[in-house]
Amino acid sequence: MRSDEEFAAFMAARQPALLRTAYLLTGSQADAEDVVQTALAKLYLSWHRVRVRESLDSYARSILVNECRSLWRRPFRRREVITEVLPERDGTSREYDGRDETLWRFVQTLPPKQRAVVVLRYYEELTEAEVAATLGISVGTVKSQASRALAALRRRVPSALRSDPDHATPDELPTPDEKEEGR
Amino acid sequence: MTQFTPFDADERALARALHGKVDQMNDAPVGLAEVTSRARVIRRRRRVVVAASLTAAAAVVVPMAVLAGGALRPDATPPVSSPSPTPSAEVMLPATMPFDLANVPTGEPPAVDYAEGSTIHAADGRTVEVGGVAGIDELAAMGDGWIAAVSDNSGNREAVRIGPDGAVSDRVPLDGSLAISSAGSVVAWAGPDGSVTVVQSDGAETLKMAPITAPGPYSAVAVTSEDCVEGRSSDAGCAVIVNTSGERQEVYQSTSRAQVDKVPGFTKVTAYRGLTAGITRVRDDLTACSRVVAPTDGSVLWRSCDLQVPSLSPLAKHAVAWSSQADGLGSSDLALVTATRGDPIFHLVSDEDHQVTVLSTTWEDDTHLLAEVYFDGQWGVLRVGVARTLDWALPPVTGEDVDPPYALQLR
Repeated sequence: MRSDEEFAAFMAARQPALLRTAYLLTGSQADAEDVVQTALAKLYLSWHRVRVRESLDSYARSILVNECRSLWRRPFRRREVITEVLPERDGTSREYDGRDETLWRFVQTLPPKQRAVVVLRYYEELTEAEVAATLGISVGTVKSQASRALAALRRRVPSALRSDPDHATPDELPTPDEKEEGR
Repeated sequence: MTQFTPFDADERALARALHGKVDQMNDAPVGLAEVTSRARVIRRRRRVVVAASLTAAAAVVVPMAVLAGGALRPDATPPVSSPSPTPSAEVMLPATMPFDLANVPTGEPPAVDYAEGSTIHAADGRTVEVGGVAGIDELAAMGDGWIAAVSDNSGNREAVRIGPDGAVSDRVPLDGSLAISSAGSVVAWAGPDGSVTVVQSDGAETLKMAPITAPGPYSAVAVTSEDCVEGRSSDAGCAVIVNTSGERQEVYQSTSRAQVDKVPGFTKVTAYRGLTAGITRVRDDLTACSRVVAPTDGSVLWRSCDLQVPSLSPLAKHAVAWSSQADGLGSSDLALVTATRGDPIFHLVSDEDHQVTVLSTTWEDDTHLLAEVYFDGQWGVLRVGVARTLDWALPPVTGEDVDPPYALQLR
């Protein structure tokens, strides 16, 4: 069995990343810390079975996402007593603006599975196959969920997607093909 | 090899918003001790599920055998792996062990005052009969007498002043519990109307603090200074911390500056001794997530969704912790942990063969806790040492589980 020191080193290195993903999945600092703690505990229990070090990240991510899904499935979740003054630590970057906030609010309204697909695909930048493996669904379902999320995004918050040359980074500027398609 | 499809402009905008929301988050708030503690809980639950599944499967085949033998109770905690040695006051016990009280030796009586019915047994050996009260629920020393919480048969609670001769005076309505300052110089309580009263200076001064206007019920939990007269108290002033448990669970402090402020970050404060311990939220499975917070900058020293922290030792070096599912009926486990880190020192856990309920605790000194416990139809006061020692401060006596015989002095 691997030592606690080795597990602690993994925790120290990867906990912030897991917390960021958990925050995007739950929208709450307290919930994010809670699911990260449980996910790490489950990883700790199965630590000796993880034979391929390179798979640790994806394994931890899978546990984390499953924990979030478990959180969503709880029938009385809405009855949780979450104080309005809970000190939420906001990790928002300085470049974050109103357009981004609109998009974030939109993400928070997505059904849980769509939201998980969006976070894993567009934040974690996993391939559709990796998202499917993480969530235990088919690649077709990943594609359809992502497509629905984007369609809803374009329908509900088109202003947040408007081209803004002053705002956009070079990566965001439309490609010639996109211009031809009228995007 | 998997081909990665480039994002379009909308997808890139979405990715940018997600990154922008969290990329500055670099905290690692969960410690290894918290993770291993949660892992132990998960492992125990898995064992319960497996055992319950096996029991259910056996019940299908031989239902009478299960009924005769007694099925596993779904809320039972299976035995911990440590052996069950004979408890001893002298021998350091395992860090985690079953709540086995069979061979606990009898030690010295409590070094704090305690009430038994309407009789007060003072630590100095005096026995004082208190007139005009059916029983004493809570007891705090004040000068050469006491402030006590009493209740009548209808459940109406009162705070009363008890003189050294047992005479009762100054009965006033009480909501919730009595609260004391760290050194015990100040006793405070909230009334059913949200009023906040402080008694200090050996009982010579009674102060009316600003009332809590948020909806009750109310329960005072702590006083932050040894003098609540403004100007005479410390620079930080004095505050009585009061929990409310009406439509919303919130925490307020009524200060010596005649202000009432909401205490942020907690739905309930459970202990205060320089450090603040409290519950941040209650989850849908009725477990509570708790935090211990530093006084200086409000930073979170440690947190847990498995344990709550009902008490801090007089010097705030140690803390009591027990299951986050504990409610007013008491806890089935009892742990001593370090106050600032939550590192486990000693954990007693009820199991199938050893069912113990901890009703209340008080610190005898900074290294010894007194716990009023119920087990096998008996009540007793157990002394639990941070050196992992156990002995009876008040040996077990037969009693009803709804009728705890003792009220230990608040400390």
